[in-house]
Amino acid sequence: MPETRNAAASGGAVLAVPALLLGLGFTSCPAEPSVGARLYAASGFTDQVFQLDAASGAVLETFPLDVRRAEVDEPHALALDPRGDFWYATVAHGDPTLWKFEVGRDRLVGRVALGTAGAGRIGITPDGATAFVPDYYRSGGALRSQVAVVRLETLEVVDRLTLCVAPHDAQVDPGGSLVAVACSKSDEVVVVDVETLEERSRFAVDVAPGSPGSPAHRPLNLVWSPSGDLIYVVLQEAGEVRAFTVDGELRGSVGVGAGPAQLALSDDGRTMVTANRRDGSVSVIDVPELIERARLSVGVVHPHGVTLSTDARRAYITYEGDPLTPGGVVAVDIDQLETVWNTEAGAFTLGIIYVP
Amino acid sequence: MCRDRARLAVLSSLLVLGSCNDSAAPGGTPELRFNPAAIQLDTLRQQDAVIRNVGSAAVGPVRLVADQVRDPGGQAVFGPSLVVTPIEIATLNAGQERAVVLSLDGADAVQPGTYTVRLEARVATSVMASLAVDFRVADTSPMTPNRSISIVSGPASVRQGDVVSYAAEVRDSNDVVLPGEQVVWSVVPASAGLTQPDGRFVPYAASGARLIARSGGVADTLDVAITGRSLTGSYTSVGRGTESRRFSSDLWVTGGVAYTGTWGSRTVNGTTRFGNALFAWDVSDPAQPSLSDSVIVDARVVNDVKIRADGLLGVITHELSSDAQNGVTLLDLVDPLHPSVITRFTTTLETGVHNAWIDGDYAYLAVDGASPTSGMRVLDISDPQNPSIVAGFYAGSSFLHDVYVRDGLAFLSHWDAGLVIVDVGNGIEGGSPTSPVEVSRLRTAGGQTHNAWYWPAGGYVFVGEEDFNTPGVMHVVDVSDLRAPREVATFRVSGATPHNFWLDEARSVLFLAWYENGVRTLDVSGELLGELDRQGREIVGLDYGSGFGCPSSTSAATCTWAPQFDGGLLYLSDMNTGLWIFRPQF
Repeated sequence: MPETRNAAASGGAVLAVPALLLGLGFTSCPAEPSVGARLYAASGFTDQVFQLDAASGAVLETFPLDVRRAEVDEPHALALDPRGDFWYATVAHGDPTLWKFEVGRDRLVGRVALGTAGAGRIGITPDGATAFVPDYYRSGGALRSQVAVVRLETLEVVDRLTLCVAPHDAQVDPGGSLVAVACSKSDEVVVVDVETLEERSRFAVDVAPGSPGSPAHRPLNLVWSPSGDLIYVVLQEAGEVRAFTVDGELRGSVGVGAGPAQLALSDDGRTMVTANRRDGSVSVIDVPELIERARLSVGVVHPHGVTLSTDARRAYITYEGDPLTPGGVVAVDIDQLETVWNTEAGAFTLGIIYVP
Repeated sequence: MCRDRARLAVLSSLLVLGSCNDSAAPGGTPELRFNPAAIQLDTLRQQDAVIRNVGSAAVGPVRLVADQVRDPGGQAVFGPSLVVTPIEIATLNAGQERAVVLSLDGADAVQPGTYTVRLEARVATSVMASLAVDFRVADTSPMTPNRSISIVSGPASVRQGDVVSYAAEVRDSNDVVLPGEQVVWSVVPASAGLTQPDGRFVPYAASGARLIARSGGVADTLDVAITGRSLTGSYTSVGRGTESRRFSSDLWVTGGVAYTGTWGSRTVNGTTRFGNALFAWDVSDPAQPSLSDSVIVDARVVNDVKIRADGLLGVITHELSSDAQNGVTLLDLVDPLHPSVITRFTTTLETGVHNAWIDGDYAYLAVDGASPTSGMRVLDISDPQNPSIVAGFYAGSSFLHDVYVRDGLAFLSHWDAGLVIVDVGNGIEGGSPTSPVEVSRLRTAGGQTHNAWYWPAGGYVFVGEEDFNTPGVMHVVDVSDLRAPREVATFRVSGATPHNFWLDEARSVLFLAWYENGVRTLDVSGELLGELDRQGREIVGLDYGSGFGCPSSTSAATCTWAPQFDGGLLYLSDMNTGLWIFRPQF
């Protein structure tokens, strides 16, 4: 374990008691993350995960996810084990892989080759036992590609589901019985039973979908409502978030900024934030009304990933940059609608998680 | 709201404290052990073992790497290898174990004796457990007291590194020659060289050695004088074209123009630049290379550049573009100093193209990914304005890193799947560019097959193993029988890993880019066998940089990516510093 991380952990312990007093005693509650909260952001181009202090944006440490030093391996997505024991990362190039780290010590404890053409986001069952990793295979035209099913304790790929064209996101419902897959190049969502791995439903995200391989709406990512009744799907081409039932009934939609990539929903299900890749903005949405409360230009190139602090008062957005500019992370105060900090963190910066 | 905040603060405090307790937990370390601790296979050729984590914390990935087989004298022998399944274990939790299948391939092709191969369990650069596997090849010659043996042919003086052949005759008590009797060859001291079952001997040390032929309890010896190979050489600097804003990648030189790609991100004086450029250098006066033009594309890595034999068409590869539409750009080189874009082609290449090769009307592309839809794509470029994918090939596992095409054969550097030879028009297996057919494959020890250079006249393929944890090895593969490739030699230089190669076939000189180790220049004339780095075959090394770092945004350290020998000059692309031109003197 690197010495710097030891120091950070010790510091966190010392600060924990003041944090407790702070929480009990103060009447003013500024939008601040939990003391000691960390952000982890994947730099797809420099083959690193950056660890940042959620309060200040300071880079605390970097972890290499560099299988091959002279190649770009492209760390893509990050996910936190719902039990808080491990965090996971996907690497999309070379042999696409899923990496497993201990929370706290940030020690690598395993890595499994997924046997897929790529690796997108990571959906984990609430018991932390199983992950679903779509391959986001963009080169297959209309070809249906795969979602790897991984037993996380032993890091074994137990199945590869051929579901749809270029699946990018797979998220498990709060009850842990269904996984919804966003099929980015076939304009559909496929819902699969976690236990049997059989398809439960499949629906188009619009009455006028594009053809397989040439999507008109490009559903990239999704989240479940806390009740598990609805799936919120972000449509990159349409610039919308739409709410569907598990059986594909449209329950609402809201326009957001141009080219939204990821979305995040607060634990109470009332606040949603999207990172709008094409216009450099962030949309803040009231849920379940699906009203865009605000749209804030965050002044960065290609916002991509988004996560929320536990109290949902801060949003943390990764930005990719482009072949001329670096990537990083920007923090936004959702109440004040202002940028709190902006930290450069590698390049082609994609996935992000918040670890309280 | 504030009540919620209070609860959160309590929770976060507990979480942080818990985290610290975890960090300080005693004994939270992994420890790996093989069971059994050593294996005596004797004449068996397969056995299972177990690797167990006896520590108190999970560990992974664990890579199982078999070293070369060593003879009783400790010399590496070529031919037999220990095949390990699996080669990587994703994770081993505390108390967990995994079965490992060990099998010997080609073991009985070596001389009688007891051999050892070491299996290591590596986590990153650490060896966490090792296992010695011994096996025996039985001596089948009868113990006949009255037989005799004599060495009847072979030189008494030999040059270091030259493979020479000896013959021995075994006679019975009536002095009648016994044809086909097994003869076991060895040398004293063992470090003097490598003997083969058929009587070939390659000397390592420039000294005296005693060659021994044995059969059925009798022996004959021959004292052999080994002279040094005595190769010398040097390089003189001719010119350089400095590129210190971006990291440089691959290189191609033709017709007085050098093209260099760019790689990664580099921050100099607070400004970050990416690998989105191809540079064209005027090297018509090699003493004064000058940058003539560039092509900027939407990518963060232009890993490779290849030029068609007529010099009129080029291809550059794209990875990590901002619009996720990776692939290749075809370049019009009618004005070679000023390349112009013909078209950017991305269909079915969106995940990225890492390397390329042009052969006639086809570009062979290494497409990123590790699935049946990844691997090699063949792009018809007969109409460069309208290229089209006409075929694909994937080796079934791992990913394709590089491709080299010659004589209708594609040599695929397919990482842990090994070197894969594919018929793309040679005819040996009825393949064509539109219908590639596999001929054979070979996984060299260590895997991580990165690059290959096929030399038809020599019957060899030179294979680079890009391993940053345990650098660095070049493998020599004998392909005189294309259907049965076999590893016959290695060349090692410690401290860094090899990268791209170029062979001056007229003089049998192999130039090996070796990252921090610069350029190694190797005499590959004649038959190649054994450990080439012990044979005095290295003519000269070239380390031209200063400082430390490979790659390094701020230093001018040596970080050699690619060599090309052209017109009597050696051109190099260096990641840190750009284009270099040297004149070899040897």
